[in-house]
Amino acid sequence: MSQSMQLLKRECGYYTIAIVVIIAFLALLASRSGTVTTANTVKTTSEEVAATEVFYAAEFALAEALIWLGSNDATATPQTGAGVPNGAGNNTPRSYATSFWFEESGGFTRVYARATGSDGSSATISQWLRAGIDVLNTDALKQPFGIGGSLSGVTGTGDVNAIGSSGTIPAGYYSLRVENGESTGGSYGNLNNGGEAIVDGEWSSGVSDIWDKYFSITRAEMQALAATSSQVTWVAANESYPSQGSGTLSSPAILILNDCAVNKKLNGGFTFIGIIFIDAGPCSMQGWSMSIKGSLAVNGDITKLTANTLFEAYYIEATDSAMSSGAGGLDAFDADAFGSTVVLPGTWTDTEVN
Amino acid sequence: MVAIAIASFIALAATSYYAAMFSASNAVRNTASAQAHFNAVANTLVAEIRRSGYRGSPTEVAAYVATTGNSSGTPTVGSYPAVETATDCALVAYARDYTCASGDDSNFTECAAGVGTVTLHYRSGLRLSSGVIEAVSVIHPNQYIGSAPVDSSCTATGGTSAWAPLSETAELYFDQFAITEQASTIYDGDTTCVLGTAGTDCQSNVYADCGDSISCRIKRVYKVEVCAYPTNTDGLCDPNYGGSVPSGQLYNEFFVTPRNDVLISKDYSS
Repeated sequence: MSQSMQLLKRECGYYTIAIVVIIAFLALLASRSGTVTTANTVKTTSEEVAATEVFYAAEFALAEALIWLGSNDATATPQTGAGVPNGAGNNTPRSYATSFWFEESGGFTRVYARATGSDGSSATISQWLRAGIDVLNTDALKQPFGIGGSLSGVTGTGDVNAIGSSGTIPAGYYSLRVENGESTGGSYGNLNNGGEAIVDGEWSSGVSDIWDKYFSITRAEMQALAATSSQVTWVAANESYPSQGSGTLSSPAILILNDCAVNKKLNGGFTFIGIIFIDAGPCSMQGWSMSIKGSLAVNGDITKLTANTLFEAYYIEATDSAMSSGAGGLDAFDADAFGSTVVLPGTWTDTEVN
Repeated sequence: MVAIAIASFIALAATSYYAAMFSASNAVRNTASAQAHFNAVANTLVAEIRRSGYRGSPTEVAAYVATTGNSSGTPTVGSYPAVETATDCALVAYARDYTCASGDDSNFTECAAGVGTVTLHYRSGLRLSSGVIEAVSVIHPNQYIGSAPVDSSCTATGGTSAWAPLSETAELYFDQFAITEQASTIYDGDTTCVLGTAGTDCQSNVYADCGDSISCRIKRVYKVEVCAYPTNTDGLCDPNYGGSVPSGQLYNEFFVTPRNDVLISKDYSS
């Protein structure tokens, strides 16, 4: 066999290997292409899950906005929410930043809530709001102690705290208010014995039912409201008084008591923030022992007040407060906190549509 | 011979690898693709039901609520019901911004009023037809001054049908698609108490009072069932995943609540 033939045979082997390697390479490329297609398909499914997730984060932002609005005024400036962290045990590294802002139009407020994911996803939703039923009359908090009759038999050392650091009570405000013609000129037995001077006032002539002096809704409406609002408690005449306080500075409470039988009293030494209205009278408050920041109203005469109940006006700051709250007194609360914002039905939408 | 042996070895290895990768990749892709199709239906429906009942701004809500009421003792929910269900079909309605085009003055009262951008009610929905999920999204037919140019009802067929396929039977055969009202809570629209609740003003009220003596808000929960599989044969779905379950079956049962309650205004004229 000639030398040239031998070289040709060796080259055929190299060509064979080269061709096979190329084919193998192409096969690998095809394989990779298939893998990429699969990965993209899986990614599409994953993105659908992420789109759902970011939407729920936006709903969380909307809830944050409503809570924030409970103690702040609506503003067009975007507020930053707490956000939604990546869940523990969640292998997908997605967390969400939340924000919300407001637009006011024609007596209504529109809240926008947005969530933005760490993966770049985003969702924005909106809801219209209106002011809720403002259940308080403007007179409701002008006296820590309101009486639809007269006050007598004060043998306990109760205190009314209505004068702050200014040393004077605000104009139009009182320590306590009684029925027309029942004022004693600031002397009510042991009430405020050694404490601040009592500034008493009288309801207008003819007013003996002071419900309307405290509330702008009817008794039936208040009872209905109590069925759905955690801020309002309605205690029927045949039911027991609560055994503990309620209300907070950011969400003061309303407690309606429909009788004042002798054996019924609030005497747990607890603190109540808001308004207690006893829709009955005459009442004996024998044995009462608690503190109320806001106002206690009794719709009739009070014949006995024997223990150490403390009445403090809502505007008294912590530095002047006689009520215990940790190391200091109890701070003032905003009377607007009784107001509520109500979601306007039929106005929820997402910006995918509009 | 050595070269052929080496080449054969390489070719065999590459072919085996390719075959294995192709098979595995194909299986994953098919599964993922089926799930993507399946999830698309579920996600679309959830989003549509969620926003159903949106009526626009407070002014537009007030105008819409005025069209609700009570007819002969039966509450009426207005011209654009938030959710309508039928066998294998669900339709939802909600308001959207719409820019009036030339000729729309004769189509929509809102455009005839001379405003460029108006709020119109839209209808969208999903239905099951011969293993295919079909979708529709049009301006609500009740919004037109005359008749709508296309048929968006659940029973629409033929050339005027507004429905278009959302899935392919080659990818996934949809065997079941059902949406039903699972539960509802009816509130007095003014006092917010739940009708029939003892000890409240509305303890004696019932649904038939809505639109008559009281205004109502109705919060509804819908149950959705979707079942699909790759096999192009009807009636194989086994929700219980028993012994006869078709290979690759996807079944989901979920609940969704519209974020907008159904609103019915009481009769203020009496």
